[in-house]
Amino acid sequence: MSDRILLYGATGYSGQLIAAEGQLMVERSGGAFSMVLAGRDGTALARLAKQLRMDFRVFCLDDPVAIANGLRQIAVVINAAGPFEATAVALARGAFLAGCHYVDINGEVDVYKKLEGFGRFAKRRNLAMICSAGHTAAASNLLLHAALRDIRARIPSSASATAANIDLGAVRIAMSHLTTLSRSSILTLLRSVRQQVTVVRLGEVNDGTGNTRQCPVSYHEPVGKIERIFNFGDEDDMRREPEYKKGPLRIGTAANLVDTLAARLSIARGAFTPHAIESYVEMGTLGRLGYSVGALFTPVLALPWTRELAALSVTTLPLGPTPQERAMERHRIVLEIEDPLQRSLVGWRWHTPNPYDFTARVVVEIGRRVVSSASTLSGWLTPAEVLSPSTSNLTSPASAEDYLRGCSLDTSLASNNLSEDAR
Amino acid sequence: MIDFWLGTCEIHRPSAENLWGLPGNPNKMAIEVMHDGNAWAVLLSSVDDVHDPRDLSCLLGFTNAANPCNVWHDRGFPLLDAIIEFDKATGALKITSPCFHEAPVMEYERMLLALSGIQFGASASVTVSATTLVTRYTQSLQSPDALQPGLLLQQRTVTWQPARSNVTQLLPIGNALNLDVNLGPKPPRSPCLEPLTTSVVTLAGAWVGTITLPSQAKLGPICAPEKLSDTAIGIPSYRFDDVEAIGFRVDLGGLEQDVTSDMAALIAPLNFHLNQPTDPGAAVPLPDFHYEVAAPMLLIELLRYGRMKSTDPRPPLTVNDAQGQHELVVRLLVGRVDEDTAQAQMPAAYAPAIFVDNTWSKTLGRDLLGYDKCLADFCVERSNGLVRLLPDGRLAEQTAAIDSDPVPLEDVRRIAVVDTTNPTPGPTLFEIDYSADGSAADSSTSLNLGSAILSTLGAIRWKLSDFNAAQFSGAFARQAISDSVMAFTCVQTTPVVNRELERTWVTTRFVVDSDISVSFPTDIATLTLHAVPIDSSSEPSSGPAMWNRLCQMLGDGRTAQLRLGAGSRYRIRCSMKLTIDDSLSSDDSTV
Repeated sequence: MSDRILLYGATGYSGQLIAAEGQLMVERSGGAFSMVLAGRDGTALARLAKQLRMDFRVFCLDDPVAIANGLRQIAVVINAAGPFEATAVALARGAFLAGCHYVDINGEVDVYKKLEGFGRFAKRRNLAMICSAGHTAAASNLLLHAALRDIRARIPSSASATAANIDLGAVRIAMSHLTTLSRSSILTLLRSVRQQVTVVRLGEVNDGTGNTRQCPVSYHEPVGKIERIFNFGDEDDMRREPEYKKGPLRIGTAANLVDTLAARLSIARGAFTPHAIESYVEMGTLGRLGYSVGALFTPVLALPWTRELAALSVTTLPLGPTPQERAMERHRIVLEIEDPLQRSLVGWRWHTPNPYDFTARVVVEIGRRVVSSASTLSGWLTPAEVLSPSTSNLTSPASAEDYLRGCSLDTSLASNNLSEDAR
Repeated sequence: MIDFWLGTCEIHRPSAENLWGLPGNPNKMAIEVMHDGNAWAVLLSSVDDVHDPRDLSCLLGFTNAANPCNVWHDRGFPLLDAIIEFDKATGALKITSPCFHEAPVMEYERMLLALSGIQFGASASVTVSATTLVTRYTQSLQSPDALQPGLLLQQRTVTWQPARSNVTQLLPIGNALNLDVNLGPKPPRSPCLEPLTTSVVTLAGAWVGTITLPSQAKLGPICAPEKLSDTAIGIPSYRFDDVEAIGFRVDLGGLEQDVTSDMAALIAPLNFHLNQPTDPGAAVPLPDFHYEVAAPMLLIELLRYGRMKSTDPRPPLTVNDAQGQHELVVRLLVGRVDEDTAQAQMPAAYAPAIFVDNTWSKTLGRDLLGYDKCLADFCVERSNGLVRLLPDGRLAEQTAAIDSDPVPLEDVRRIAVVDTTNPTPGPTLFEIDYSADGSAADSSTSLNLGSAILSTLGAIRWKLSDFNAAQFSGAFARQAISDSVMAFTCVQTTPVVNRELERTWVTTRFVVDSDISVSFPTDIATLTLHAVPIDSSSEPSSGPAMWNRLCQMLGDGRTAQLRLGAGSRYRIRCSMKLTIDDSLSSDDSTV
C-alpha cells in the first residue's frame, strides 16, 4: 500500500488548515509520507497545491467511477468536505472500493450512524474507518480514553479485576463556548438543530431471539430538558462577552453531538457499563433560549428553501476565524465520570488550542498513524484507539506527541476511588 | 461409497472466442462423473495436464441430487439440477436440464448433453492399471458485495481436494479411448457447452475408483470485488410477465400458544449482526438496531411466473429469452427497529422458506438475492394420479405439445420437495384442497379490483388491523399497506449459508404494472404443511429447516393443517419488475 494521504475538501476552511498541517507532517517525515489534495474546485486546488508543493486531484462524488479513480494509489483518504451529509457516504464507499482507509472530521450524528453500517465490514477488508476524527469527537474521545485507563489503573491489581466489566454512573462531556465559527460549522449547526438530543441510557434491547438484555442504548431527550453546571475554569478569554464573565461555574445544555456515540463505543470497548452518557455545550441565557426556540422551528428549518436561504446568508460571513481569532480563543472540555452511587470518579478539564487548529493536528496525525500501522489498524475505530494517548500525554505533551502541543490537563476537579459496588 | 470416472481430453475449438474463458487452444478439459446409488454428478472442468491431472477447476456441473446440489454450489461448484440417466450396458449418460436452444423460451425436457463411452471398470476394450491420482478443484466462492450488493460481487478462491482410492487407469486395448459427445441437433445457447461439440473425442486419459468428498477446504484471500455486469451471473434485474399469485393469510395472533420466539427464529438470519463479536479486537460498531416481525400475519403464497426475462442479460441470452417458474413462498412482514426511535422503519417482506421448480431461478436466488431456495415439484391431479407441472405451467412429459396452454394455477394440489431430480415427485411438502370444485377463481364468489381501486385501498397482503405493536402502527403500518400491492420491498441476507464471505442484507423491490387484477375468493381452502426430511449427513440448507419450524409452530412438528375462509385469501394477476436497491447516490441504501 502506498504512503499517500489524500485530503478531500482541501480548499474549505478546515481543509486548508489540515493541508497546512499536512505539509508540516510531510516535511517532518523527510518524505516518508506525502499528501495529495483533492476536491471539486480545480482552480482553487491548483492554487493551494502550488502553494504547498503538493499534488492534487479533481473529482466529484456523484460518479462512483470518478471516486474510485481519484482514490487510486492512496493509503488513507481524509474527508474534510462538509456538509458530510452529502459527501461521507459516497467517499466512504469509494474508499472501500479502492481499498484505502477512511478518516473524516464529520460532526453530524446522522452521518456517523450511517457510516457505522460501513464500519461493520471494514475489519474483514483490513481497512480502518475513523469517523469524527476532528475536534468533534476526537478531543473528548482522547480525554475519555485516558480517564478510563486511569480508572482501571486505580483498581487493585488482580487478574479478575482487570478483565471484569466495571459499572459506571453517568459520563458527562461538556464543551466550552465557541464564539467564532467557520461557514461550514454554522451550516452544520443549522442542519443539526433537532427537537431531540441523543443520549445514552442503560436500557433493554432485543437480542433478535425475542429476548431482551440490558446494555447502554441510544436514547433521545427533548432539547433544553437536560442542563447542568460545569466547572469550565476561570480563564477569561479576551473575546468573552460580559454575560459569560460569571466565574468558572457555567451552564451547559445537552446537545446532539457525535461525542456521545464515540464515547459509547470507547466505554463499551473498555469493558465499562455506564448508566448514562451525555454531551453538553456551554451556553449563555440567550444561547439556551435560541437553542430551545430553534428546535421548535425544526420543520421550517428543514424546508429546502429555508436551507437555501440560510446557506445564502452564511456565504456573506467570513470563511472562518482569522489566525488571530483562533489564537485568542482556546477551548476547554470538561469530563465528569461518576460511579454507580453518583460519587465523582473523574473530574477533568482539558485545555486545547482552538478547535480548528486542534482538528488539523489530530486528523493529520491519525492519517499518519494509520499509514504507518502497516494495516494493523483496521475496523471501525475511535480516534483514541488510533492515537492511544496516556494521561501524561494530555498533561504535558512530549515533542513526539506534538499533535497535542498547546494542550494541558487539569485533573484536580474531583477524583475518588472506585467503590466496591462498582467493581 | 461414491464411484468416479474421470476423463481428460484436448479439444480444438474452431474460433478464438470461448465463452468459458478457457486459456489456450486446444482446450484442456476434464469430465468427471460421480455416482452414489441413484445420485449422479457430472463436472465439466478445465485441467492443467491431460495426462497427469492435478489442478482442476469446475466450469459447469450437473447433478440429480437436490440437496448436494445446493451444498456444493454454496462451496463454489457451479452446479445445475438435472435429470441424469445412465445406461450401464452401453456406458451412455444422458443429461436433461432446462436450457435455451434456438427459441426464446426455455426448454425443460430436452436433452442437453449425452456422453457415451463411460465405463467404471475393465471391459472388452479396456484394461486397468492400478495407480494413484491426486487432484484438487480450485473454485470461486461468490456473494454480493456487502456494501453494494446490486453492483459488485465479492469472491475468494477455495480449493477442495477429494480423497481418491482404488484408483485404476483405464488403458485401451487396440484403439484409443473415445468419448461420444452429443449435444443434439444444435448445441444449446445457454448454458453454453463450448468448446464441446457433437463429436467423438479422443481421451488422453481416463481413471476410475472411489472418491471421498472433502469436508474441509483451503481458502484463498478475498479478491477485489468485481462488477456484477462483468461476471457470468450478471445484474439480477428481471421483468416478470403473466404473474399469478394465490395468497393465504395465516393469523398467528389467533393461535393458542405464544409464537413470539418462533417468529423471531424465522427471521433470525436478518439479525446476524447481533451475533457478531463486539470486543475491541473485532472493531465493529455496536449493534443499535434489529429486525422484528411487524405483524403476526404469515403469508403463504403460491405463484406462477409465466415469463421471467432478464432486463440486462449476458450474451448469448437476450432480453427476449423467457423462462417460467412456480414458487411456494412464506412471507413475514418485518421492520427495522432502531434502539433510539419509537417508530420502526423500512417495512419489508422476509421469506424464511421458499421452494421453486426452476433450477436457474434457484441458483440466482441463492447466489445474489439471498433467497434460500429449494427445488420442488408442483403437481396437479389428473385421472392417472398426480402429475408434475413444468415451470411454465404445462404438464410434464408433453414435449410434443409445446404450444399447449398452461394448467390453471388453482389446479395445483400438491407440492413435493425434490430429493433426486427425476420425473417422480419426492416427499410431500404442501397440499391444498378447496371446499368447492377447486375453482378458486369462480367469479361468483370473488371480488375483482383494478389498479385504480387498489391504489386507493391498498390493503391486500396486510391490513391495518394486523398491526398491534406501537412501533409498527401509524406511519410504518400505512407504508407497509400501501407498499404491499403496487410495489413491495423484500429484505433477505446473503450468502444464504456460510461461504466464508461477508454477510449482508439485500433489499429488492418489486414494482407492479398498472394492469394488476385482484380477487378475494370466498370458498374454504384447507392447507396441509408437511415437515421435510433433512439430510443430516451434509450441511443442511436452511430453507427446509425454517419450513419445519413453521410446521412445528402451526402444528405438531410433522404436519400442520389450516382451514382458511373468506378474508384470508387473495388472488393476484399482474406483471412486475424486480430491482435491487443499491445506489451510490442513495444515502439509505446501507443499513
